[in-house]
Amino acid sequence: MKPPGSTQQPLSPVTLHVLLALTSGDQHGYAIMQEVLRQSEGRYKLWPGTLYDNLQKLVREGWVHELGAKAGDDDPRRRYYRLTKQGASTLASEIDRLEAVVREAKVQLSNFKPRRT
Amino acid sequence: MRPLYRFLLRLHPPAFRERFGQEMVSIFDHSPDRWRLIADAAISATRQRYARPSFHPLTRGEAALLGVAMTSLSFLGFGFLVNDGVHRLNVSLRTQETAILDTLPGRRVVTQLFRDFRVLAAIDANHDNVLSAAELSQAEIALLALDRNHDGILAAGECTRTRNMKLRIGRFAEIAAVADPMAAMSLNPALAALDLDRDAVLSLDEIRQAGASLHRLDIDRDGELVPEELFSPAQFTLFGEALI
Repeated sequence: MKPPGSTQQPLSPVTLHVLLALTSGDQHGYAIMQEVLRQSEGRYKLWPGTLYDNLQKLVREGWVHELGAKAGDDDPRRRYYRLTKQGASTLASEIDRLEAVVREAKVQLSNFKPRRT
Repeated sequence: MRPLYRFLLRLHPPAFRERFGQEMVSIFDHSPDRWRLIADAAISATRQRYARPSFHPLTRGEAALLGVAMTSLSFLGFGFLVNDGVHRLNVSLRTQETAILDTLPGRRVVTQLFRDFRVLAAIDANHDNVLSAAELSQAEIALLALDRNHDGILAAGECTRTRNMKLRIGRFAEIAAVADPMAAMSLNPALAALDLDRDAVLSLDEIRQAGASLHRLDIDRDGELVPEELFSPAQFTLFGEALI
């Protein structure tokens, strides 16, 4: 639940998808891109320029923690990222907000009567 | 192409390049979409240089080379976007979003989509990419004709064609087609309307109710279904990516 008086701004779609992708565990950049594609059922393609632009912001915000390379990885250039508690809390608040929007939309659409043109 | 990609990475601010450059090269080495990644790197370099607080000014030489690269990519991008269905292009460096908004899809795109979703091609008897009231009234008969193995149901593979993810329209433009028939049953509004119990199979009962099920998609209540009512907006978005 969002704390009373919370004024968190809506998250951008990329931020939302990246945080959501990291809920399944530590991931490197390419894996985040693939997870976003899977979660969006192929609708949302994230490219590296956008991904890392957002990751640098998310790390600065404290929502994502940069872990560095993992021992034993078949590509030592990969660096892994982890969702922080603050990031998880931010994501949860955003989900609450989106759920409220969907509830309102369903109520409004159920009363919607299209007009003949 | 790899040297070009590495050159574009060099145009990024040093802090960004040192932090993420190797990862981006790693992704480039593993990805088949090399040209798309090159375009992405050019846009990314511009954004990091001019649209982020950690602005690092370019040297004169780097600015000149970036200008040439962006101008060339702009002409190339314009070539990508010339096709039958383009009405408007919205390019924003800040959001890095390239999409076609509020466009009517080209006829070739729609015809191919009808072919991909066999049930629609079957119902569209005169192949005009519109399901008329008369065609909808015959929907049950049209769908029964698709039952190739005569088991009384239409499986996902009988409802759609399995295709590769890329479909070439014209010389450059692409549209992502649905590769997985099972996913298509839920992603496509028309198939989702027909599959009442969401089990990715059209039962005999669902086939018999096909006309009534599809009528629910008739948003403007004119008795016929046009492509905008049959396909989701994502299936009309060129490139299919979001770069926000």
